[in-house]
Amino acid sequence: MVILVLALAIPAVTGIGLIIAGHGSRSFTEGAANLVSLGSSVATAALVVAAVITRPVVDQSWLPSLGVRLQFEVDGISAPLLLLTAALSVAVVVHARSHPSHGGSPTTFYGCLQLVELGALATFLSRDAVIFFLSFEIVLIPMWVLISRFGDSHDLAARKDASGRFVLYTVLGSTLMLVGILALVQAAGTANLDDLATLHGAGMDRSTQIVIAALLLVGLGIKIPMFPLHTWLPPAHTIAPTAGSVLLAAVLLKMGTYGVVRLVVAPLPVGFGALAPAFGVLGVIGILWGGLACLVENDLKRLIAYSSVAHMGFVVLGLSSGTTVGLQAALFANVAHGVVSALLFFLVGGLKERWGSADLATARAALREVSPRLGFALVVGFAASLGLPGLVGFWGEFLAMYAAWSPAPDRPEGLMRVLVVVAVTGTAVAAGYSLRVLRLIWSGDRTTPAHEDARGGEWSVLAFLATAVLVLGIAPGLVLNSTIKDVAAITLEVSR
Amino acid sequence: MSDLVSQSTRLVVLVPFVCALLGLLVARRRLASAVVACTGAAVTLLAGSVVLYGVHNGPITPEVSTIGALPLGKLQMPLNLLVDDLSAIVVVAVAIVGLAIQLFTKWYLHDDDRYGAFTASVSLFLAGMFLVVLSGDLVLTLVGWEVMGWCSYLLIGHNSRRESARRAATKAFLVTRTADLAFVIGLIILAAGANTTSIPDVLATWSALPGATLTAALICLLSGIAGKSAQFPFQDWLPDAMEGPTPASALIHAATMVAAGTFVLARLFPIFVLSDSARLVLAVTTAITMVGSAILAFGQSDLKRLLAYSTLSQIAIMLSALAVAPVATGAGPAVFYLLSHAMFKALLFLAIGWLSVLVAGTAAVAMSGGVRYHKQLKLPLAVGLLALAGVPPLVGFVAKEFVLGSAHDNVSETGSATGWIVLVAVGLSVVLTAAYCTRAWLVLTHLDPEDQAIRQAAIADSRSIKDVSLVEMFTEPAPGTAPASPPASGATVAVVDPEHGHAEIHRSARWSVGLLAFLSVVGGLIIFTPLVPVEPHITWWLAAASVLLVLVSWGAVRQMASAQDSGDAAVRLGANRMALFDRGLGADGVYVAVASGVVQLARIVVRADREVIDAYVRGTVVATRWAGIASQRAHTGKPSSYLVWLMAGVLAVGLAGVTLW
Repeated sequence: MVILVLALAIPAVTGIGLIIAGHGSRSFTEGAANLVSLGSSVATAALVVAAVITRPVVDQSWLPSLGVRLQFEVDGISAPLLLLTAALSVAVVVHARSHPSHGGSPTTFYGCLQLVELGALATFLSRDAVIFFLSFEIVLIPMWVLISRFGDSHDLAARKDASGRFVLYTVLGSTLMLVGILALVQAAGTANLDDLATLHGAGMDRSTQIVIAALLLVGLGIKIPMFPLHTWLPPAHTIAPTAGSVLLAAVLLKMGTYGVVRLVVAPLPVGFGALAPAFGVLGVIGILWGGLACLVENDLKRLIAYSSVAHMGFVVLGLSSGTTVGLQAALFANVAHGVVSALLFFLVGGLKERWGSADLATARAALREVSPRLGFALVVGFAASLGLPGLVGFWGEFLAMYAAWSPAPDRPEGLMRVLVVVAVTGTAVAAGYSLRVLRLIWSGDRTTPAHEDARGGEWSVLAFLATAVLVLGIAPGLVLNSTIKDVAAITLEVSR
Repeated sequence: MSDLVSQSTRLVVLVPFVCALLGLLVARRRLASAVVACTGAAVTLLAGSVVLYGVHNGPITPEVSTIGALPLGKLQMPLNLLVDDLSAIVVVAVAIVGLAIQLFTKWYLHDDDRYGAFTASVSLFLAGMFLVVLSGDLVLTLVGWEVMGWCSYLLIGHNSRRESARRAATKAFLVTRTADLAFVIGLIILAAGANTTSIPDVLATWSALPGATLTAALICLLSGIAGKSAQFPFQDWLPDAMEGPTPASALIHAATMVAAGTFVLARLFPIFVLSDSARLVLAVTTAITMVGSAILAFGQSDLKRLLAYSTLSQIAIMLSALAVAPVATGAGPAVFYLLSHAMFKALLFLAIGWLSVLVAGTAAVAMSGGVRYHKQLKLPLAVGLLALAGVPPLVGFVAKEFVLGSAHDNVSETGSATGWIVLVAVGLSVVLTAAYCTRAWLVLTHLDPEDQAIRQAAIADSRSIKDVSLVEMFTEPAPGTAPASPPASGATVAVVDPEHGHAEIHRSARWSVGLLAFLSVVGGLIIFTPLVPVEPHITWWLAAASVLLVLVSWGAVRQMASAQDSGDAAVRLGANRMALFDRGLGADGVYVAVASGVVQLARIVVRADREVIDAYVRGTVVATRWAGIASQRAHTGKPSSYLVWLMAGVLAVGLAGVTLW
């Protein structure tokens, strides 16, 4: 119990403390803020690891009249996401040591990072739908600050547009989600996520389930982001500072998928079943849409943002199948995308700093010639991005396609199979854009203008993530074994 | 014993993989890279030999676990390896070729600044191939399959400073990946039907379920196999892959990637024979490739590309054996062809690579008369070409006879179109193969006064004194002559290996060529051992006929060549036609057209993303502003208008109250 309270309290206190300290005294330097953040993130990460191992429970009554309880717990589905969040929170701080923020006071920057971590951890830990929503909202404002104050300052109008678009679009999603959550809690008679999952929609008629599921899917679909609700993502990623991009792609987007599993798939099986085909269709359109956009996109950060849309499409496809394999695939692909997109955004953030822009049309020194470490990380990142078997990206995509080919009995099999055929072409498109990027910036004979290779903190972060890409690619069981029990409880599928 | 074999099986996959990782870590250090790569290849060969010995001596556990089954509900995914006589012998063959290539590379790339990265990629490539061969699970097959594809990208694009290499690498990966789309679907169909990805279980389930679904799945698989094996219509990536350093070509062409499809299909042979339609599709595809690429091989102005086209043709013969082999014969002939091709094709590539270093180029013009001046290459090249042409008693002859025999059995048993197509196509390719082999040999041994100046300049350029015989050492090279003039056609740029000033060939590299040559000569004897699952039985009249065809072809090409100053029979085709052959009949244009179509679509998507989907988002901003302006207008500041609103509100509430009452 102490573990969980501390794991949430440390980032909360550090985050608020840093923001206040920055306004109070001027003695807080960049280095000191970084050090405090680093200590906080490392301590939190250690606590999260301890929590994942010991599985403690916090359960306190909070608003008895609404039946809302302060309930936090780790389970198999949230454990990988918690570890991902904690690890990346350390990584962004380590990376920021060598790549300091620009545009505002460093204490605000680090304070916001801590608050984002707090919100994400609380989201994944929460066992109460209302607390889930509150935690979900905590991350919005700090992320907005990160984008609007510390983002790319080349074009201030674009920065304002991107940050405003991010916050307004996602708030719209949150509003729909709030209505959905309240309706769900009202209809089911409980706000406890475990009870909601155990009920499997008992006591709710079909139309109620469909309406609630639709509200939640649209709301969470903005966060995922799902085609056609994705247009906030590319500008946000393009403008956001490296740390912001990483957390946005690797943590915030995961909260959307996680929410779909917890709030829609588990408690509303009938409603989700009815909407699943449409959900899957949109996911598959996203795969192609995002992938094709990457083929001609000339801003590297935007390109990776669009590739995120494509990758999340596979998550959506897996979810829509309604089988154990599909859910396992979706949860795995979710984590995989977290690792790969973090790697790529760290990398591209560093490149943008070196190059002065992320434009692909400008002739630059080939990474393979002048900075082999950055080049290596890029090759690993894009190989994983195109779903190369043996790396982390493969399992989620392949299993999602398998799941959609043999979906749950109540899904339209013919349609789902068509979706698989479309989705599989998306993997060829992914190969196309990955090799395009490698050909443009990795290989070549130019050695000017030279830039320095990754060293110190930057290299250790890149090496760590590249290792994670490989390890999870070779041993996908690390994640799949964690999630299987809770997934099987959701799908009620008896394994052979 | 059983346990030892299981452990060795794991090692066969694991050792090259670990070597690849280690190789990357020490990539900057030449000696360490070489030690890691060569030791790893040797250990792999040892482990492979243990597996081969174990399979034929004593009981073994065929299924070997790897990373444990994945928990996926109803879908069983055990991820096991599978050891049997079929996989054991192929593992050993691949390991031999792998070791030979690693030893050769150490010399060949001795002054390449990226030797470490190259050799690590080779190790990873081999790990992928071993995984495919030993896989007992459809998913592991796919993993190894794609890992090889990725390594081929890295190896072909090894010299990434050259635009042509970058293009060839990208093309190779994209073409094979596109072909793999259907392959993935095929695997999914097979797994979904059996609720498992374990190959033995998949075979057991589907053996009882022949029909349209199985045929669809198999044809999907054939697409991926055609892609990796560079069969029509995916053939054009392979000749371009000659941009890679010669050891990479030897690796890709001989024992691994292009032959992997044969092995996968051999694994699935028990269900593949159940679908006549799938067999017909395979027969037609391979027949087109077999004959077409043999013709193209004859007209290539570059000898390395000639070998590339010969690979297409040879792989087609290998695959066609699976299209016609009767159930009783099984996949033995195809796998035996794989083994034999692995030996002589690796030999040919390494020998040509060796020669290219000495004469500074692979174009026919540069290589003309090559073996007259570099006598140490005469034997290896002669053995390689004779084996390729299928001259008895070399291994190529024996292997080809088995394929012809299978086709003949098929025709005599069923009289099916499939059998006839393959029989005729293989018969034609016997003639054509002998023709391009003869042409290559006549070019290599040609002696022509006009060429001499060019060649001597090349020899001087190669700076390898010991390879130049005494007489030439005293003749002055013609000053200012270009070492390698561009090919006669001018359509393709001669693939010149980047090395100049090469060290004398290492003894280990020489030995590896010698070993491959030895195996190419005596490899045929393996049919009398139980190592290969084939019946040692040859249809004698077919053998006699094929020898006759080879002889006729040889005579005809000699006749064609004798009339030419250059000694190159292909010149008779005419410069224009050779240029067309060099371009592979323009298949590249078709690929480019498909790719640019996709890019056009992508442009439309980007436009639609901005102008349609995001328009709604921007529209909300406009709508909100208009709503603000409109409501601002309502605030006129006149009490009378507010009174009207108030009255309206009261009325509305009243009405609502009355209605709800």
